[in-house]
Amino acid sequence: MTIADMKEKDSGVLLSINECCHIKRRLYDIGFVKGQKISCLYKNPFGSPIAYYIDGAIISLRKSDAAKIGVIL
Amino acid sequence: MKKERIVALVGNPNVGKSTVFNEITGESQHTGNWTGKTVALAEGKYYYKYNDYHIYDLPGIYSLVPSSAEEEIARSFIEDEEYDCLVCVLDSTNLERNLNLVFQVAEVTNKFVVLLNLEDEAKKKNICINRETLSKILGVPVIEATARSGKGINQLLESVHSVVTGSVEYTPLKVTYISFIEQALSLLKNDTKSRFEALRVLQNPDEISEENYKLLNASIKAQNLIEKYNFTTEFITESITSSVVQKSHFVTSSVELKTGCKKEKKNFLDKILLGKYTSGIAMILMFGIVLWITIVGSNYPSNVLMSLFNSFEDFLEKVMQNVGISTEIISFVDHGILRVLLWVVAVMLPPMTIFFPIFALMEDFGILPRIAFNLDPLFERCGACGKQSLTTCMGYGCNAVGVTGARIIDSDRERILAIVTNSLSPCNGRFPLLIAIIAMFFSKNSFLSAVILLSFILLSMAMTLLSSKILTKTSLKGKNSSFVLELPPYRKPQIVRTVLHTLKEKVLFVLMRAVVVAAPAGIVIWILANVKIGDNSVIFILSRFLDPVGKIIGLDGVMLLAFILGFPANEIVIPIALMTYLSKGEMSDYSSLIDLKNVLVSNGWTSTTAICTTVFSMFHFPCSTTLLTIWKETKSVKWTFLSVMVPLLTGVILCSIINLVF
Repeated sequence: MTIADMKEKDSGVLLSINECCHIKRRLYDIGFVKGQKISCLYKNPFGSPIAYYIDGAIISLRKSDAAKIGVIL
Repeated sequence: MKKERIVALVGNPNVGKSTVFNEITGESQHTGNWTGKTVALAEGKYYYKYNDYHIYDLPGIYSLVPSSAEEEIARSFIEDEEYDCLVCVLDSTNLERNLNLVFQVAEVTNKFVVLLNLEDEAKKKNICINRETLSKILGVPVIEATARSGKGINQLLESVHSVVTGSVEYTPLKVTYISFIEQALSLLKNDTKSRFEALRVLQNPDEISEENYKLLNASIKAQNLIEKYNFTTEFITESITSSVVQKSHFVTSSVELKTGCKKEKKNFLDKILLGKYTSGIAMILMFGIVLWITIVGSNYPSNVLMSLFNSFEDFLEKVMQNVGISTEIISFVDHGILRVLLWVVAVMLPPMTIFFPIFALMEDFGILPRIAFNLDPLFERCGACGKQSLTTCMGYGCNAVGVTGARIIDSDRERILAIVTNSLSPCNGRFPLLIAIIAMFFSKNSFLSAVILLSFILLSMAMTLLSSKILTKTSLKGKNSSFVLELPPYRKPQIVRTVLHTLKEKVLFVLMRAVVVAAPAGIVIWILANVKIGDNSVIFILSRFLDPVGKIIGLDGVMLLAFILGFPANEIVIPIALMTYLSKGEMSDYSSLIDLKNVLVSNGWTSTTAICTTVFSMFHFPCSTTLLTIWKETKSVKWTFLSVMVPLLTGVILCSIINLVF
């Protein structure tokens, strides 16, 4: 599953980022690394963006981007 | 004289670089609690131990691989400029992520120190960092600081001094990569100026732009090497990043101690502001309250100022008469220049003094990124970036600021979108007109006024979205780019400092601009109103000429002329209109809104005219300053032209419809 499928209050461990481009690098830089703990904090009523707690900070991503990031609960 | 030493502050967004900068220089650059506050280089000077220092505050970056225009500013400074020392400002509560940047900086230069800022917040979260060990591991000076209260700043200056004067040699820790990459790095050493540059060539061996043909050698070598080992560049990038990340993790785990209970992740305020059921209401309520405070708060001072200025004018007129100055000159100075000038001050100053500081305080507190989070789905559906909601909000203050602020948007397409649509948000110069018309024609009650104003602003938001959508389908075709936004922890704003600073920088700045524009505009208008062709003044003839066009969009010639003449600054639209209506050759003074309404009604205003004027004042062409800023930011005739057409067409279409329906 991907972090886009997480429900509010779910937490898990990051797997890999399934895309090779610009955003991947960006995500690395802000702490989206394999093995990192992540939890889903808030979902926008429209379903996107979603705010995650990761590496000591709250980061929000659009659903389409979140769907590229694998996670195990 | 000794040469000036150059120092620059580097760090992730939102770690308090601007606060450090202000503490060091004693200047008050505005600090905001959101990613991308410093959109351009701020610079200042200080003096320490017989040395002159020049210090730069670079925009926040997560890494030296830039993904937006403002990040590129920081990257190019660090890689290409000459400096004596960098200060890596780190967020102590988030050491691991911040270290990634430190390791990248270490690949570029040996001359830097590390500042562990926000020590107080770390303490509150029971995070303890062993500064000495960290300094030993990293091989550079590490200083703990709470910049907000000035703690640690002296030690910082001392450390910078030691680096600058070279009294101690530092050899910062470098990340060790896998053997293939290390081998490649030593091979490219002589052809590149830093390990960082070599790494970049290794990751993109094919991308050599014309200006760095010097790297040609390096890139050929890199290509050969990569072919020999048959690695993909993607693998190389991933390997480099993961080496850095692992190193950060390793270093963090050896110096950081987190004790006590788990940090509170969900904040009470966030539960309301970002919660599923409450966020929408919270947003509207918040905006409504801000508008209401602005309306109520500015009502009374505006009237007081107005009557004060009126008596000042009378006084000045009498003085000049007594001195024996001719009546023409008195009329020119007193009724031409001074009256327009004072009007602008009286009408603009109170709402600005309230709105700008409130906005700044919200910014400091950390509300803005939350607004972006809540509004993003709307912008996403229209092909725009969520950060456009921030530039839209900034536009409510001043469109020129909103246009510059668009630099925080990563993708070029979305940045242009934000720039072109920015003038659709009514700025502070237009608020007084909106507020006055609402008060005259629609509501006597300040609460109702705020509600009506809020609906007008929601209309402007809707138009921003609609035109973004249309542009995305037409001249700015493209897909949504990714949108990564950090929601920073709430921070208590430094209230006095922020308010004073906003008053000084923003309010005074905007006011001065308006005054500078209003004075010459006053002269031009006075001349137009006093030069007669036949029996009528030029201004009257012009307005009669424009009348048929104005009528189509529910205005009249006078209002249309006022908007056109108001191009230098939106604030002078009402004064021009009044002057023309009264065709007295000078701007009328009036003491209350009822007088004003009587003037308008006797000139054929109906509630339709009032609505159309309000709508047209929200949607017409950008003012001169904004237009100039758009040109500077885009350097494109096409986008500048579009920035005029989008709001203008919106206004013309909406007003024509309103005029037809009513």
